[in-house]
Amino acid sequence: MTTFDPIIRLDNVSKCYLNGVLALQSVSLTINPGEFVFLVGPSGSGKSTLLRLLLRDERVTTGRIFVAGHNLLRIQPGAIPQFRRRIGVVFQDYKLLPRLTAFENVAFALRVHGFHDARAIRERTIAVLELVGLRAQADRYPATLSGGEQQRVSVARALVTGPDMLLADEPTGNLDPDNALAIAELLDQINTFGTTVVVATHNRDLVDKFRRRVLQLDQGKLVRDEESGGYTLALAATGDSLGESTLPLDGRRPLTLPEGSR
Amino acid sequence: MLRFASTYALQTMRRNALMTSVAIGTTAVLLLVLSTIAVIVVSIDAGVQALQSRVNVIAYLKDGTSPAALSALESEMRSRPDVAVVTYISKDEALKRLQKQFASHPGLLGAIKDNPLPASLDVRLVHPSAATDVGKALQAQPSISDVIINEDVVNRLVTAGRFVRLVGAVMVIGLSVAVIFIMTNVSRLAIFTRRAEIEVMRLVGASEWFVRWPFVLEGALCGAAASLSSFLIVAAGYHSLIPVLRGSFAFLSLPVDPLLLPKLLLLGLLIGVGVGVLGSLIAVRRFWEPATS
Ligand SMILES: Nc1ncnc2c1ncn2[C@@H]1O[C@H](COP(=O)(O)OP(=O)(O)OP(=O)(O)O)[C@@H](O)[C@H]1O
Ligand SMILES: [Mg+2]
Repeated sequence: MTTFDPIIRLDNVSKCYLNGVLALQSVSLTINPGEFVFLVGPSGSGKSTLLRLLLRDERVTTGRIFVAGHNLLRIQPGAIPQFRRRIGVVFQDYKLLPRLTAFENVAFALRVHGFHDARAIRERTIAVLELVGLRAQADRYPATLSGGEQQRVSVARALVTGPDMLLADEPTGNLDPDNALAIAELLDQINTFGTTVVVATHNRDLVDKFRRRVLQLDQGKLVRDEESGGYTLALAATGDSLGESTLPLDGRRPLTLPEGSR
Repeated sequence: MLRFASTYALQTMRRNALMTSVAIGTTAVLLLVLSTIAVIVVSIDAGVQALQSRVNVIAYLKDGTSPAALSALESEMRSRPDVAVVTYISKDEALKRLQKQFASHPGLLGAIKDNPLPASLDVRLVHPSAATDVGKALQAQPSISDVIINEDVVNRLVTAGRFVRLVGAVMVIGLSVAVIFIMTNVSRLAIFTRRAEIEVMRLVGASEWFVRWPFVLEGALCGAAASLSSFLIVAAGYHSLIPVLRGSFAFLSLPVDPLLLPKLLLLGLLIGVGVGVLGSLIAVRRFWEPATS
């Protein structure tokens, strides 16, 4: 791990939307290549905002942000498409193209990535749809798919290109426990092949089951960064008598960026 | 890639069917006007060409010119490089020609006792531009009474050709501007109806031109559709008009280019597609929202 530069690094990042909402406040964190991170926190705490910043869909207001070797404050507009192609994204609202079938939506990502060989496109797409359990629905349009099915098409689209980094915003939000577990295991498997995975989720069971690094946001602040954490800070484990669940940090991992980490 | 772009473009065209047909319609009108003007100009040019070989200078001889003076004059004219043919028309021959012209009114000439027509030289030129020079040379001869240059028809045709060209150019330019404007708005509407999808494509990492290209293709398709439909009309009109024209202007013996129609099709496609692409390019440049705020 020490030989890699972090794939994600935020220095004192704040995000203030145009309407004045302060969605993130002085967030600093680093994520190394190959990590699997759960991003948790109540609704409106800034999880989607953080993912949007990572994709350079939004720009930070203050602070510095580096992703996959790019300084996102400085990146040229012409370099953004290339940058985004290294990232697979599962959007909270899926963002499927309504006039394309499930198959075409997934294949579309491959075309964007410069795949031309029709056979390669077809076979890769079918394989990934199989992985998310949607082979049978390949030729259906998003409007005719259930919420969970659309969500899985979105997962398939994010995975099909073999990204360096996967950002998943509530990828299991519309799924029953079994399907949610299946998708989470899929993401875990992708991660074991080296893809950095960041999953924003409200799914307590998954976070508790997988025991990965947990970043917790609350009202735009990073309040917890815990290796092998659960959905909530395990007070019993620390034997803390304060009884306060919104401790700024748990002490197990320094929140401030260590100098010389780059 | 091309298949994606074309299905995408066709879908957009279907969704904005009304605007698309307006665009195709106006482009077709533009091309129709253009083709009609082109056909007229080509015909006039052909007429000018046909008549130019007939530009001639007629020199009337004074009565009583001696045969020796006449043959000297004839050979002098023939030796000029700008003169093609010199024909002597005697008084009798002139009268016979006149009688032939008035064959349907024999009474009119019956009243003539004495032949009033002078003998003349009909001088055909190598090139019509020499008419004035040759005319002056003839006028200077003592045995010549009058010189007329028979180029009026040609001049009028040339003037008409210039006029048609000018009016045509103004109309074509004006219509092109209008068509480009309409095309730009069609693309603008298309971009607007597709903005959510454009956003998604960008987030998945599509390059700007990957996203823009279908809109430009749409403009090209509109232009191509317009040029094909206007060509069908022009071809039909041309085939039904040509026999009529041949009949009434037989004397011009118009040498019509057999490749005229294919050339018109090509020109129409070029201009139609060009205008379509230009219009959508303008839209894609002007109404493209920046990728990120
Ligand atoms: N485009 C926007 N413009 C203005 N304010 C926004 C925008 N997007 C989000 N916000 C605000 O920023 C804050 C953080 O929103 P965000 O979407 O990041 O929350 P979240 O943690 O993803 O919540 P959820 O779990 O409900 O998805 C909220 O207060 C929200 O109202
Ligand atoms: Mg969210």
